Amino acid sequence: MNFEEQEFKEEKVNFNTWKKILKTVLKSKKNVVYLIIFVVSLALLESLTPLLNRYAIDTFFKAKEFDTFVPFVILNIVIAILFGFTIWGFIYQAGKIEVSVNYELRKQSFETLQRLSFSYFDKTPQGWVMARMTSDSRRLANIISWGLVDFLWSGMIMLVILIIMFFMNPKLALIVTLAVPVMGVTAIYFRRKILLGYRESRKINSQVTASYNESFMGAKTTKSLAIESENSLEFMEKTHNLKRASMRAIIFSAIFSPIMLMISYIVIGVISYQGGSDVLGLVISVGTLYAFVEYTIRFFDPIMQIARILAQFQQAQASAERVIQLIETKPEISDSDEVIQQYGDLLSPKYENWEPIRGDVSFKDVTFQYIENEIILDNFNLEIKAGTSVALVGHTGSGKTTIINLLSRFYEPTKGEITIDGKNYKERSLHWLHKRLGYVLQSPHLFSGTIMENIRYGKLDATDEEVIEAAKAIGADGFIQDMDKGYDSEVGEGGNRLSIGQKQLISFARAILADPRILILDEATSSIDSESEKVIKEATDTLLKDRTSFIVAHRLSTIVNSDLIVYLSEGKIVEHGTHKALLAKRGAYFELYKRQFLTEREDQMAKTI
Amino acid sequence: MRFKQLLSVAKGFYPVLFLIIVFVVLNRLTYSYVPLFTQYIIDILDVGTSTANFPSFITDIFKLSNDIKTIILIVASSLVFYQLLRFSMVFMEDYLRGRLTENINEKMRNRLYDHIQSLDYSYHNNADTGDLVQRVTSDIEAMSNFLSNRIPEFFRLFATVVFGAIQIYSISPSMVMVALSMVPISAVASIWFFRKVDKSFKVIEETESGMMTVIQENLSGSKIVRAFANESFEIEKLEKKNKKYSEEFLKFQSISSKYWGFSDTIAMIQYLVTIIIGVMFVRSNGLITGGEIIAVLMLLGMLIWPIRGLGRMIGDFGRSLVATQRIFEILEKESEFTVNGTLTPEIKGKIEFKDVYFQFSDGKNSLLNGVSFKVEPGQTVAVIGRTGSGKTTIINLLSRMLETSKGDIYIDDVNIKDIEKHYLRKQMGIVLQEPFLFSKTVYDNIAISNPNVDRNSVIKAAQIAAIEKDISTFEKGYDTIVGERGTTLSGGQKQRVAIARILIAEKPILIFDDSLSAVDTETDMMIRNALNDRDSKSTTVIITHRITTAKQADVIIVLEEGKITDIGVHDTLAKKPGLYQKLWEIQGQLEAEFMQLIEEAK
Repeated sequence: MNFEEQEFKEEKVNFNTWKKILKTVLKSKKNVVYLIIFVVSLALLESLTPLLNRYAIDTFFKAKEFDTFVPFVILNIVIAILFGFTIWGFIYQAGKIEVSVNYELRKQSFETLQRLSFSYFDKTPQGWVMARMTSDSRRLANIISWGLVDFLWSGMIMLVILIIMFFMNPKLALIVTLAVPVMGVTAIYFRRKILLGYRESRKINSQVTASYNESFMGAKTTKSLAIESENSLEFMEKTHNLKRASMRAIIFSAIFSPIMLMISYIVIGVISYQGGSDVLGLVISVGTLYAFVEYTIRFFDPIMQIARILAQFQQAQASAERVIQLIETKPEISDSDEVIQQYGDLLSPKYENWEPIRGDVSFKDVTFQYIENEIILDNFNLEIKAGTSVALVGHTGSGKTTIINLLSRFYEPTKGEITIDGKNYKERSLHWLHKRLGYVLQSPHLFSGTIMENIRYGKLDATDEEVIEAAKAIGADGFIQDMDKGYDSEVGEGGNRLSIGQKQLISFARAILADPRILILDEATSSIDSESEKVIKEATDTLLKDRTSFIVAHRLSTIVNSDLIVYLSEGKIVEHGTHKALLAKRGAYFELYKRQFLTEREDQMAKTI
Repeated sequence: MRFKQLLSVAKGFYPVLFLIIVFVVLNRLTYSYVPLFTQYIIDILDVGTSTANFPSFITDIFKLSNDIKTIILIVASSLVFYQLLRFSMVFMEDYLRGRLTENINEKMRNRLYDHIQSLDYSYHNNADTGDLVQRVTSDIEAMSNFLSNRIPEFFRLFATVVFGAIQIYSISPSMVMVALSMVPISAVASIWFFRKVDKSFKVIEETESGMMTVIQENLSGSKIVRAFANESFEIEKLEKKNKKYSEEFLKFQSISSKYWGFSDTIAMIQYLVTIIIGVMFVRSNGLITGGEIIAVLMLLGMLIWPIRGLGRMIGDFGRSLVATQRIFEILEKESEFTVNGTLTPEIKGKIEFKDVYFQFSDGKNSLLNGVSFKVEPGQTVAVIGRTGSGKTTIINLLSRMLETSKGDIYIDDVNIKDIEKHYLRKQMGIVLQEPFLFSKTVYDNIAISNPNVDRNSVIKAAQIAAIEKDISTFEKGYDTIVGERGTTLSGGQKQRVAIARILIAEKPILIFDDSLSAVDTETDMMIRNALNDRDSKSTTVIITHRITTAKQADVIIVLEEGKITDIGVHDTLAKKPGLYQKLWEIQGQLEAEFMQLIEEAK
């Protein structure tokens, strides 16, 4: 939320952005054309009604001639029906445009997102992206379609009325025209002020919401520290500021419409007097005077509309820029043209050209930094034969996660190269690598849907039998069968209807189904109950069997059982070797092991006795 | 009932609300005269005199002159002046409405905030934060919006129709029947339509949230999506939801376009009918003047347009009642401070539990079954036991987050029920197992209970809690804002900041609720030693599952299923058969086991 409010500064009209948005709008060209026809017809019809009334007054009421009465009634009925028809038409067309722009923007953003490399998600808060794809695209679509309607309608009404007025009486028409710039300037001035006040209050409002959120989450802490009154004072200051900011916008908007109306009534007063004199001088008819008063009232309404739309567009520009920015984001990691030629791209892979994988991995002089001069991995070398399991251990920030991010090509080495089966992985496509890679996350990520669907995520064309077999292999079949609907049980949003242990097992089954040659396992730090602990341990063994695996290891059993332990510190290998060899060394690994062992066992014990 | 509660929210602002309604009604009353000015001018021009329904003091002014041109000038400038008065009133009305909204918002926001803070421990244990946030934001706004906008709007609608009808009646009694005949049709159509809108919006919201879930899960699972190369699968998944949402939205637009098209046709026909009837009058007996028909046409708008909003008004009313109910559900929960003591004795730190029982009010599993023990000032007591043995309940009772079901707790021989709750908690430094850090700087988080404390005390507290080093690795050190992008503290770091937080003031009683569970045993020991080295001696209660932590306490309480099965010091307990001895033996085994592993490795 905060992130969004801060980016409101851009005030100048950015034509480039709007041009791109317009392209999206023009995808529904047909609807835009219909919309224009409907709105223009409506404006014409609306401008005609006072003329008809003028005719009625002058002919039927004043001159008392009734010959044309029947045709007049018929014409009116036709107009009434046409009126309803055009209104139906423009609302429906505008709705269609709104829907299709919203749809398009979301679709394009989402497709871009799928192409982006992982680093983008690492850096960009999820809330930011969500806001672009929901509120921003919705607001844009709304303002574009309805703004277009109001703009066209207002413009047409003003134009037609002006023409009619000049035809009826140029002098009176001129008086009305003179008021336009005065009203325009006033309207724009006030709209701006209102907009600024509104932004300010939205900003404070999100702070208030954040405070609420915090007070709920930290309720127990607040109680235990007995700081309720301090919190209250802080909160009251925020709500008070919010009120002050809102009041500023309110005062301006409360003055705005009376001032605009006042200007229009001054003009109406002048018209009434001048028109009245003209009636006396037999320059115009009474009906014309009525029509003029009516037209003057109708003429000024669109000015307020246009001012409103301009302010809205100004406000929407920030949304537009952010959405376009998202759609146009370029992935930091992408395949070279030659690679795409041979392997195909993400949406149209050329499987026929893909060579199989053995699973030899080697890091050659790999250096990596996220930010300039902040070296995370320094001249890192590691050669792994296919089928070897490697446990990466070390403190937070030692470079473990970086190694697996590089291996997955979520990031690429700043210097050096990573080869798979002896070939630099950049010479094959990302898709090739990812299809052969299994990834099991520290905190397992499940999608809403059934258990079946979630396991199948590892191999989309797997049969039900294959899915069940994978679950059996990992030891998840038991608890799944025990659930109400078995494999068709819904896991809930983010899998929240399952326990952590169950979620882990499902993500294991997913990986086993994918049957990757290279497996990455980012092990959970949080301990689970000892029963699941045992199941998970067995599942891990099954999962790692016969694969090249890299494990960010936290559980002792995993570390101890791996073929190679790599102890990292500050991006360098401090020690490496088998568990036994490293213990014998009595170095850093030994210390880590001892501390970890005692803590882990004692916590475990407290749970089991 | 709910409506009464909704009205009660505006308590203290009734005069303003009344004033707004007066302005609204006056506005519509005076508005019904506006077309008469034009009627007057046209009548004067047309037939030389006017029947316009002005009060006599106004027509007296108009008749000041005999010259038609001057009369028109007077009438036209009166119109401008009249509108100036009216628009000042409009301004006042808008301003007062805005102010009322904001005052109610502010009042309700503060009231709810305070109330929620004062709700008891059990409430917060079960609360759903997302739902609460929804209530305190949009529900409050729905209520204030109803009070300051919808209520006056209702009066506006009513006044508009009434005054419009009266004004038309005064021009032509038979006309008013014609004009009103369409009102029921518009009203029914409007109510029907807005009912549909409400339903349709529910469906739209549902499909939208389904779509958001897909996006959300795609973002949070971006690694998984990539690692399994399922990008095109994801694109298809969204495509389906995106299409569905678009269809639902278009359905709504379709109903909406039909309704407005229909209702505008009706409105246009009503204008036509008025003209036809008028013409029939003129034809038969010339009962109506041109000026009159113009005024009727202008006044018709007062009857036609507002009725179309009736349905929306009714829908809004229903929604604000729902919002009221949701807010009052919270406000009707009793504050924990309605039951409170009054004493504020100086506290040295003697704690005594006398036959304490506890079970939650639902009467199910009892958590404590007759617990009695005594701790002298300055002593350290450790409570050890399995998960669910009632350890945490002991400190929740001691800090009066929960009330005992039976038995009493004494501090320095004063029953804690007689002590003021805030005061009591202020005397205790409590560290929860999963402490919450506020989104302030690390410094402010440590100094939270006393923002005026000097910097040295904060740093010293951080040192004792073994968090100083961690802080120095943060880019902005103590000024790092907790929870800001990229600076998430680990569970262990949070626990240590929470420990530092209670050390900045002298507290006679310190309580640690398994608050070093995310810290390794070595750091755990370091912190406890640093605490012991402090000059002041507080009574310390440590809840733990680690025997190495419990071992050093002056009093060790072994808790099993809500009962104390053993109490004593390490040396005696370790020799006595029981849970403690078992734990201690396993600890010994562990060390042996470890040494053996090392041996094997050789």
